[in-house]
Order: sequence, then structure tokens, then C-alpha cells
Amino acid sequence: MAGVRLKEIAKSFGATDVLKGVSLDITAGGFTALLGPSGCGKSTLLRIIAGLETQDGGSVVIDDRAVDRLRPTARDVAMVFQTYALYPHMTVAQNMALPLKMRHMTSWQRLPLLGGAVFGNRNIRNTIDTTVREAAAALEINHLLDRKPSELSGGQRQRVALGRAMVRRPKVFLMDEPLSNLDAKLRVQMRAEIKELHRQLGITFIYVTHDQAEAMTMADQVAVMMDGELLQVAPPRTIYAAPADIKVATFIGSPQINLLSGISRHDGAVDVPTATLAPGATAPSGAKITVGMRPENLSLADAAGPGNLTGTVRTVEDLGTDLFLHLEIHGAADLVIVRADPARRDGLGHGATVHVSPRPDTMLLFDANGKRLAPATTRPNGANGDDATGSAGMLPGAPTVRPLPIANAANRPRRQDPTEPIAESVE
Amino acid sequence: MTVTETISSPTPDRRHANAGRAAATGGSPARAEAAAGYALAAPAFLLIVLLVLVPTLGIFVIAVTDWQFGERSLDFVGVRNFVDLFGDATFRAAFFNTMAYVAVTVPGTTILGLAIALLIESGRSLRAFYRAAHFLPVMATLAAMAIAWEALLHPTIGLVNQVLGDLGLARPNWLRDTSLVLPTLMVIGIWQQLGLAMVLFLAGLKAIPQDLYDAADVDGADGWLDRLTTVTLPMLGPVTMFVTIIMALRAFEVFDTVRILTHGGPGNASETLLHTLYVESFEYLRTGYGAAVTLVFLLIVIGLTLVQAHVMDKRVHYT
Repeated sequence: MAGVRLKEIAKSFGATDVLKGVSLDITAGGFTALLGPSGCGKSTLLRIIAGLETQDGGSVVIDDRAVDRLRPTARDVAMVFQTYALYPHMTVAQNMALPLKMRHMTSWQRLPLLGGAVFGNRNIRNTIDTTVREAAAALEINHLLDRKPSELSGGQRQRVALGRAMVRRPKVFLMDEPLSNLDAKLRVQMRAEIKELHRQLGITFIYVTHDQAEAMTMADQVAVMMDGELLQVAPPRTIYAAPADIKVATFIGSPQINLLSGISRHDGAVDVPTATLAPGATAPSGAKITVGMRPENLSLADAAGPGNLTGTVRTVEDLGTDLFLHLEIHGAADLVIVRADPARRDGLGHGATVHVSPRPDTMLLFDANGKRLAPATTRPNGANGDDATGSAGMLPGAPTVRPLPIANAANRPRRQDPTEPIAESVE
Repeated sequence: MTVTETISSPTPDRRHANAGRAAATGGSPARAEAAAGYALAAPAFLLIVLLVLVPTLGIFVIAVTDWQFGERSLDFVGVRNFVDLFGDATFRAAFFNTMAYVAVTVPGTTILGLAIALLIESGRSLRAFYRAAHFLPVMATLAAMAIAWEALLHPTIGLVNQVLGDLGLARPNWLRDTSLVLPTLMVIGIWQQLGLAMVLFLAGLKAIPQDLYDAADVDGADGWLDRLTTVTLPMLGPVTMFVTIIMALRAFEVFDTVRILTHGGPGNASETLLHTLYVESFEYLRTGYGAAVTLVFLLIVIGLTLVQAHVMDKRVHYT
């Protein structure tokens, strides 16, 4: 097993800095996802690891050996491409056998007819054939070995590409958005299969994707990249619950995290439009900060209260399992999305006024530069990467007993008029 | 094939819709639709009939007569023209010369065109210049270029022989030597067509996905020869087929250089099919005989195209 260490990798195309000194440690045998929006430099980074692109600065170390001057083949990595990059004129078997032939046979032995007759390649050919058949059987594509790629479906091509990469047992398995050309159902299925493949092979996987669901469900370490920089490297659960940067917080999670700008008070509370929140994190008094709240960490309250947001329903999305309310909060720039129980749908139509109480321990505070302030309390309850449904929140909320909204209201002596905005937070 | 499917697939639906309407109104929209179809196809069909089918049929008719251009009468002679044809030394020379010309210039232009395209594509500097320089002969009028070649190849004052003389080498009479005249014309032919093949190959090279080269690099096929045989040549299959057909058709049509530089001589050493056809039909005015030559020419060209399309289509189209 081989670990991969990236030291200060820099790369620019013309005047554009694509990678601005990226350093990353990838543990041997682990599954690391490079996650980021298109154009963030993640594919370039993968190509640099593969040796298909040369970095302007920094070093790539695979298995404690600097490989900067080595050709892709000599680095002993395998790569699966977004387009699969199967050779269209070769059969599945020939496609899968090619890396082995290039590795174990001389140019003379590879000659179509002469190779066998003159240079005695029969034994090597038999070994290669066996290896290809074994890999094909593992991927359940052994019935396709004589077909050309054009006769295969997208999912089958994907398997052939995986097979071609795994036959030579590389040190590192690189994947560049391998699932993005598949339909949604197949993508979910292949996610599980690739994860299983990783478990069986036990080698280092580096997986580039822009799809957070793929990164969160498959990887045990997610490296979030934006604008050529690594923003955070952590297990999926931490990336979701304790993002280091506001950009990470907004990129991860569907629906997106709610952000409210506010001013911190001397007692640690934060004034945001229509409410004063107690996020349980420290910020200097009077500082402009942003409070982030995931939709599933907001719950409907029966009445207004100082800690409750008040808004008007603009859109209702009923997904069956979840009900998403898009609320317009007076004084807030964006709509706030709340996940509610579909059973409570009655009376939540367009224009209804609702009160929402955030769970204090889940609120995230970001300073003016977007960096997260003194961590809000998080309870990492182990890597929870198997939520393959990806329908609502990426991960289920932490299993804590939530106070009932009614109790919340009862505990608060002074009720505020829900229509009356809090003075400080109004622009 | 995909195209035909896409085009034809909506038709049944429409027909169903029309059938429904027909049942309701009692009219015959299917017939009306057919009429509209014929009406739309009519102009193109008419042009094809007038410009292609009728003249071809005319040639078939003339080829079995002894008609001479300008004569008021003609006699049916059956296959006599064809029998004469194969007994005629000039025709046989033209036939074999043309075949030899095609056999040399087609691979010559294809391989050289590919090599130049690969060289231009692999280098970074002066690409536009090299492209233009190699493409110029295609743009130029071959008749004018032939005269320039005549000057270059002049046995005494031509640049080629002056250089050879200065180097102390023999100074052959390129266009008057029976063993040299056809190879010389072949070289001029290759020079003239090279640019077209190159441009087509350049376009083909641009269409090869970079991913395939990357995959080849990772798989270990990273030497130039391995890359060429693993990715470049197979992926250029469709373009190569197209280039070969175009080059073969153009090579069969060789006429300008023969007419201007050699008139088919010395002897019949540079006689070609199209030149024979021209001389028989428009110099000797033996139109019936010329029509027979035309038919043979037509058969060769059609046969060649069909064979190439059929054989190569199966081997070079992957998707």
C-alpha cells in the first residue's frame, strides 16, 4: 500500500493560477475524495499526481518516493477517466489486456502474428488472458469480453474502464469524475460498487468529483477545493457538521445551508433579522458575523420568541419524506429553508407566517472573512457515510433530544410581536 | 444509421395521427402527404435525371454504336467498340498506366499527407505557415502549375537538371524518357494532392480525444510508435478511408498534367484513361468508341468506391 503526499503543488495556465500551493497527505489504503466545483483545479491536481501534467512548483511523493520526474507508467498509478477513454477499436478483452501487454511484453512480442510465432509469447499471453478473465469476472463483465465499447451501455463501459485500471494492480487508483456520465440510478449503484472495490483491493483511491453525494458517501477523507486552494481536509461527517469555511458550508449540503448576517453582542448572543440567537460560540462584541443553520436543524415553533426566527412562507416543497419551507425573513437577503415533518403540512401554505427555532448547538458562526469562529459544539458520531439516498440533508441530525417548541415558548416570559423587527438587525 | 432512425422515427406517430384525422373527416391525408413528399423531392429528382441519369444512359446507347461526332447517321455495332478497346494498345497502355498511377499516388499522398499532418501537429511553431505552404498546390490551378513544372524539368535549362549537373549527376530528360515520364507525373500528382490529404488528416487529428492519449500514457503505451499504433492510426480510420477514396478518385481523373506536359507520350508511356477518352472523343471524334472508354472508366470508379466503402466501413467505424 502506498500513501501519496503532495507538497506545495502549484500550477498555472498562462496568467491563471489553477493551483496555489496545495499540500495534502493521503493515507495509504484510504479513499480520498477531491471535492469542489468545476474549475477549482481538482482535475488538474489529479493529472499532476498521474504525471499527465507537470506542476510548476512543489513535489508529488508516492510511497515515500518523489515521482516528479517519472512518466505516468513508471509512477505505477491507474486512472479511470470521466469519458472512460476506452480504445474504440479494441474489444473489451483487448482494452483490459493493454496495460499488461505494455508492461510485460516487448515490442517484438506484441507484434500481431510474428510475436507468437517467433518470439514465443504464448505463456505471457496466457497469463494476461487469465488475469483479464479474473478481473472481468469480479466486475461481472465476462460475457462482454468480445464486444467493442460501442456495443456497451454507459454502465458497462464504466466497468470496463475500472477493469482496465485494476488488472495491473497499481499502487494508487485515480478516478476523474468516473460517474458523471451515468444516469442517477446507476450512479447510486456504482457508488456502492466502487466502495466495495476499494474494500476488496485495499489500495489507495483518489477520487475527483464535483458531486458532494459521491464524496460524502464513498470517501473516508474529503478534501474540499475551491479556486485552486484546499479549504478543508476531513472526514465527511466533520466537513458537513463542522465546516472550516463558509464556502465549504455552502458547497456541502442539499438544500444549501441557511446564512443570516448579524451583529454579535457582548453576552455572546447574535442579533439577526427577527431574532436574537444564542449560538454558543464566541465572537467579539459588535463584530459583523454570519450565522449558518442547516435546514434540518431548524424546527417549527408554535409562537414567536426572542430566539425564534419569524418569516412568511414563499414556497412549499413536499418530497414525501420531507417538507421544505422556503421562508422570507424580514430583513434577510436570502430565503431561509426549513425542513419540517410532512405531517405538519396543514396551514403552511403560501403567505403563512411561521416561527422557527434553531437548535443552538448546531449553529455555525463565520467571521467577516468567512472563517468559522470558535467551533460550535459538534458530536462526531463516527463516519456516517452510508446515507446513499441523498434526498434531503446529507446526514441525519445528531441524535439529541430536541426541546419541544411548545416548551421553548413557555420558558420565555416576554413574547415579541412577530411582525415587529428587532431594531439593531434592520438595515 | 442513427440519422435515418431519427428522421424516420416520428413518421409512424404522424401517420397514426393522420389516420385518426382521416377517419374523422373521411379524406385521405396519407395520399396528400405522399403527394407533398413527391412534390418536394421532384426538383432534385429532375436535376438528377437531366444531369446524371440521361447523360449516363446516352453514353450506354452511344457506346454500342459507331457514331462519330457531327455525323447524321449511326449504326448499331453491339459490343464491337469494347472488343476493339481491349485489343487497342493505346487503351491497354492507358489502363495499366492509370492503374499504376493510382497505385503509387494514393498511398503516396495518404502516407506523406499523414506524416506531414503528424509533424505539423507535434510541433508548436510555424504551424500556420507549414499548413499554408503544403496546401498551396491544392489551391493553385494545376494547368498553370504544370507549366511551371515544365520549366523546372526542362532537360537543359530547367532548375532540376541544373542542380543535378552542378552536383555531377546525370541529367535525364524527365518528360521524354519512357521509363521516367510516368514516375515524374506521379511525383507531380503527389505534390499536388498532398495538401488536401494533410488538411483532412489535421482535422482528423484534432478530433481525437486527449483522454485516449492520456489513457495510453497511463497504460504504458507512451512511446511515439505505441501511441501511433494504439491511438492515432486507429482513431484516424474514418478519415483515412475518406482520404483514400478522394485521392483514388482524383488520381483516376489525372488529365491536366498529361495533356499539358506529355500528350500521353513518348509513345504511350504516359497515356491515361481520361486522356485517351478525350483524344478519342474530341480529337478523333470517335464518339462511340469514346463512350465505351467512358463506360469502362465509370465502372472502375464505381466499383472502386463500392469496394472501399463496403470493406473499410466495417473496419473503421467504431461508434
